[in-house]
Amino acid sequence: MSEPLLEVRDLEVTFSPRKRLFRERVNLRAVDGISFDLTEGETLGLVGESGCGKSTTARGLMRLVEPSGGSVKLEGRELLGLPQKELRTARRDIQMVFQDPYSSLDPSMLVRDSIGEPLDVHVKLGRTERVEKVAELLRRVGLPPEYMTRYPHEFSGGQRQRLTIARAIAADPKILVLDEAVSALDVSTQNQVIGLLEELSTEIGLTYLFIAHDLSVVRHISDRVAVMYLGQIVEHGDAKRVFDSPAHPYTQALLSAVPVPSPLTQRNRERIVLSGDPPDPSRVPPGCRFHTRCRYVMDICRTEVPLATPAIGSGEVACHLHTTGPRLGGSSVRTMGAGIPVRSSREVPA
Amino acid sequence: MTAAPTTPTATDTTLEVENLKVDVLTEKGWATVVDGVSFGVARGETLGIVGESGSGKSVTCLAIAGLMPPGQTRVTADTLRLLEHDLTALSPKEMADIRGPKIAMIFQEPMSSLNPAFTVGDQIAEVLRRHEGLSRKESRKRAIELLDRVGVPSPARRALQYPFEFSGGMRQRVMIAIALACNPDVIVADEPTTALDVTVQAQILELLREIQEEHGMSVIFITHDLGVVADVCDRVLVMYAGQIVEGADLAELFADPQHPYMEGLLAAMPRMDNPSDALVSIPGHPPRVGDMPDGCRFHPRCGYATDACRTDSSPLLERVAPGHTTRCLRHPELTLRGSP
Repeated sequence: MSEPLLEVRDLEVTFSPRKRLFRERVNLRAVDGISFDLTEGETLGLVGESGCGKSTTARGLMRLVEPSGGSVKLEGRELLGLPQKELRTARRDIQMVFQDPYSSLDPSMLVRDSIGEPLDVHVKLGRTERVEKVAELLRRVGLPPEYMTRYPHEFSGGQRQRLTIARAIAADPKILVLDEAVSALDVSTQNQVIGLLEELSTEIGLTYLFIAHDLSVVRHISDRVAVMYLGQIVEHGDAKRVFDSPAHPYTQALLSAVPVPSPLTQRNRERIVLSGDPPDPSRVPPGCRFHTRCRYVMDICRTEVPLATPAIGSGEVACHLHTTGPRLGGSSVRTMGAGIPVRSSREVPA
Repeated sequence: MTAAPTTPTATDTTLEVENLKVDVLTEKGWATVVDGVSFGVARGETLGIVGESGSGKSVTCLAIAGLMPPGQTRVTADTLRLLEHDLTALSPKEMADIRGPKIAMIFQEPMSSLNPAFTVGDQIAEVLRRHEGLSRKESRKRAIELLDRVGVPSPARRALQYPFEFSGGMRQRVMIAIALACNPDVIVADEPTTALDVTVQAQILELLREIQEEHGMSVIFITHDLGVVADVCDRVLVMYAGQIVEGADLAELFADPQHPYMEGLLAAMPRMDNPSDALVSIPGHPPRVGDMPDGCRFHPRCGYATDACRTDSSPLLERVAPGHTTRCLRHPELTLRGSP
């Protein structure tokens, strides 16, 4: 395997909010020791429920929030602790696209200037060259170059997201961090934007960190997937392996909750309804963080933190089912579904 | 509760809509956003309404519930009947009396539907005092029971808390408790799980299903997620550009779609169980309000469109099989791909 483009090790991001006014601050570790690699040209999907720290991970590695520990290396160069000025040049290689294309474009700026701004910071072109470059960027994201003299309000959600992508790739970055970049779009528009992202990755070899809560989309676009729960990665591996044979009970529950657009399949499949919400991140449960909602919970899960072990096929899983015993030894958690009640299938109204 | 039934339809159909039209005032004058929508909902049935944003699905339901702002909107219908009430003849005051005991709404964003300045218990109790005439004490007790019913843990303590102290899923449970407070005959759920995580979505859908089984109310479920439709609905209407373009029972609609738009929507859904297919999208965008294309409104995006689709007047909603309608000129000759 080639040298990773981005190497994240034990990344930690801590917030210390006050629970109530005038009360003491609590320490809330939103990201608690995350490690992963991004290899050139690949797409890593980062999934998990809201509040699990997926967006904070992205913000932490870009230093939009300052991590409290760990290491982030871009092509071998450490980003954490880098002085602001050098960070600025380093950031040229990692760009970000956010969820809401309505708030991420300045309404008072012409499209030409929104897209041209990163060029002014990182590349510095003459006036005609700049216009040419913006025209090329617009064409690349599938919009006519004439649009450069328009304002954001003249565009639909899908077109705006194309504009933010054009802006993100303006300074030729190596990595794009896409934080729920297609979540606000209608499915048809969403597919068009995903098609564009796939095109860009083959044409200019872009690498993606794709953060989303829609697992069907993540499965489609990702080469590898990491599943987060309460600030930690509980399982990762090749997308096919994670989706076809999840090794962690949380991954299994998450996958089973995605409704499939086929009445026959949907009403006859195994479903695991997780009870309750994820625990408060300022009061993380001892032992395995998932034990309060896990249907396979054992005594050891309540006291000891499970370590990551290799999962059969690819990647790793952090769950006592794979280490104590080991009962599963890295194989799919689905193999032990027998004997545990699941909701019965329902009739499809004909 | 309901008045004694006089005709069979009065018991079977809780809501009947005939030729509903909604116009809104835009910069360029009046524009039609819902154009001739007709349907009925049976007692105990879950009717799904699907379509892209802007297709008119939410406006249809807001208009039925009398929640479109007067002045900037015009709502007309040949029939708008909820149980024994003719909704077209009701004053806003009378309509407000019906909302709650007869028809209740659950919206997508529970944070903006709850008042941040009142405790959750007070907001449920208020509905009970207004519509059921309960005393302060009784309504408070009943509010706690309702919170318990919708699965809010430690309901007595939680009733004293404010909306900001609740998670998204818990807020949606509170909204369901409010909707349920007066035991309505029809619940309109407008994208109630769209803002939630899939795990919480599964919990909420399960809860709605249980409650419907207990009370036998009709549910109108508005969503753009065909996975959710496959999970909860009995019958489905597909809306496009303000019109119903197809309607059928769930299984038949998915197995044998009769409108190219429905085929397109099904093909566009990314599938977890079948990820290898390239993602398909319906080309182009839905038409803008007040700028409807001639002929079939879907023709600019339809791969099957012929000259007749472009020039003839808008096709009518035709019956293709018992309980199955489509608004497509070419449906007899087309074989469309479904997802049974």
